[in-house]
Amino acid sequence: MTPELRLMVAPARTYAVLARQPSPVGPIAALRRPLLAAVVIGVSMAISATRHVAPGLVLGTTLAWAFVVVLQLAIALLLIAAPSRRTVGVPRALDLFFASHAPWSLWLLAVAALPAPLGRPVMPLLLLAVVPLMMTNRAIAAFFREVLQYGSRRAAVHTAIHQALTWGAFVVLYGAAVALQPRIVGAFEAWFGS
Amino acid sequence: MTIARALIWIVLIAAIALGFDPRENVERPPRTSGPYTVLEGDFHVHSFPGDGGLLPWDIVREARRRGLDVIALTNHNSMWSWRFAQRFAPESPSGVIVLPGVELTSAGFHMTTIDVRMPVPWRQPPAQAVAAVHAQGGIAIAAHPRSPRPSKWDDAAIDVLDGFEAASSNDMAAENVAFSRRALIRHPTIASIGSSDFHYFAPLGVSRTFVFATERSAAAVLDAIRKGRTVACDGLGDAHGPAELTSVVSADCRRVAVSDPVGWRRRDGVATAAAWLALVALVVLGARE
Repeated sequence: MTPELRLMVAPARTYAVLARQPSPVGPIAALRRPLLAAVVIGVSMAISATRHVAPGLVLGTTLAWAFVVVLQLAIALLLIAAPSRRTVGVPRALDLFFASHAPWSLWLLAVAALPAPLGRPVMPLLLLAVVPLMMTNRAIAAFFREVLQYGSRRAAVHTAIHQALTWGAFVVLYGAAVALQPRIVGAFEAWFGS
Repeated sequence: MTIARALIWIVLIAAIALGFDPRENVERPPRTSGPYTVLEGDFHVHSFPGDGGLLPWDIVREARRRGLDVIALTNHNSMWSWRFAQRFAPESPSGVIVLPGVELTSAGFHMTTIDVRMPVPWRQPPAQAVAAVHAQGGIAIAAHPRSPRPSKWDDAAIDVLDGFEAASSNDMAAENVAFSRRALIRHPTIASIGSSDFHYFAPLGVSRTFVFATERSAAAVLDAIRKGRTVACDGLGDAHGPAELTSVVSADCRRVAVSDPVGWRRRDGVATAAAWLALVALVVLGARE
């Protein structure tokens, strides 16, 4: 099995093996997994939105949505660069961290392959995201334990911080895009009367 | 494994290149009916940056592929995407008319506002919001009027609206019957609009509006909506609007529901499937360790 698949099944054991094995990864090579994640997002978006691919279209969606990966990189760097007994250098740690992106990548590709939800709510598709969410949390906790050598409690706290930062950024950005404030006001009015 | 990865990357790049279509900008002959040019429009489209998946110029290309003549970029309470498009691609590359707009997202109602210069404040009743849009010279359309609930669409607002979404990809026409009846009784010349409310999922223009314009121009499109010369076409092939106009486009409405995009080639399907499979393989194979 490939490391990405092994990480989905047994993240702690896989990260322990990967952290021990010699693999010189410099700052450039550390971007290979984030780059793949960006391409996955770009191509998935192109297929989902248009049911086809074309050079200009894929370039546009990949560049436009690359900010998601940049944000993930920044959050990961913030946590990885903190003092720890890490067994590998920062670039290699970043590389290994992004190996846990596979569940989300596969979810994005799966959603892109599904037929357009004409007249149906999109919510069931989004609920499927619970699967990569759980897998990623498990993998990230394993990453903090095995690669950064954190104890279980500290690894859990850092996983929680990582998820809080990631989903906090999502709520702020997506909330701004969908005009969350009037929706919240509307929900309150519906619940309590205006 | 390294060779396999390299080969898969080549397949991915080749598949994406295979999707290139040099005929993207082919002009379609105008369709006429009596004194009118019949245009197909989607007046509720979300784009990037915002909660839409595609950049504005990619939306325009996609509109051409989907046989649309006119679209409105309508992000939630924001015109960033429109300004972004004006800054980086002010000319529509394929002759599609692109109108500035906003989906006014308020508590209890959403309203697509078209040909406005700025978003109107959301903290006001719908009738006042319509008046604010009209003060800018724009057009106000009740968006997916069935939601959010409870709805604030009152008679005062319906009386002054320019149009309502009789069909959108979220609310099919049958689900909008109650609002349609109420709107048409109070305001018989209100425009029936079909919109895709496009975000991330194809196809753009799955529900669309047939506009009976006096010419192919933004001003003529807006004038036709104000005068109610529109037919809403839902994604199932049913047309809704004034009987004399609906009869003209009902066959087109059925065609839109089942046809492939303009210029669709078998190789587009092959390219898309190959790109998708290549990416799945790359994700599963992972990086070299």
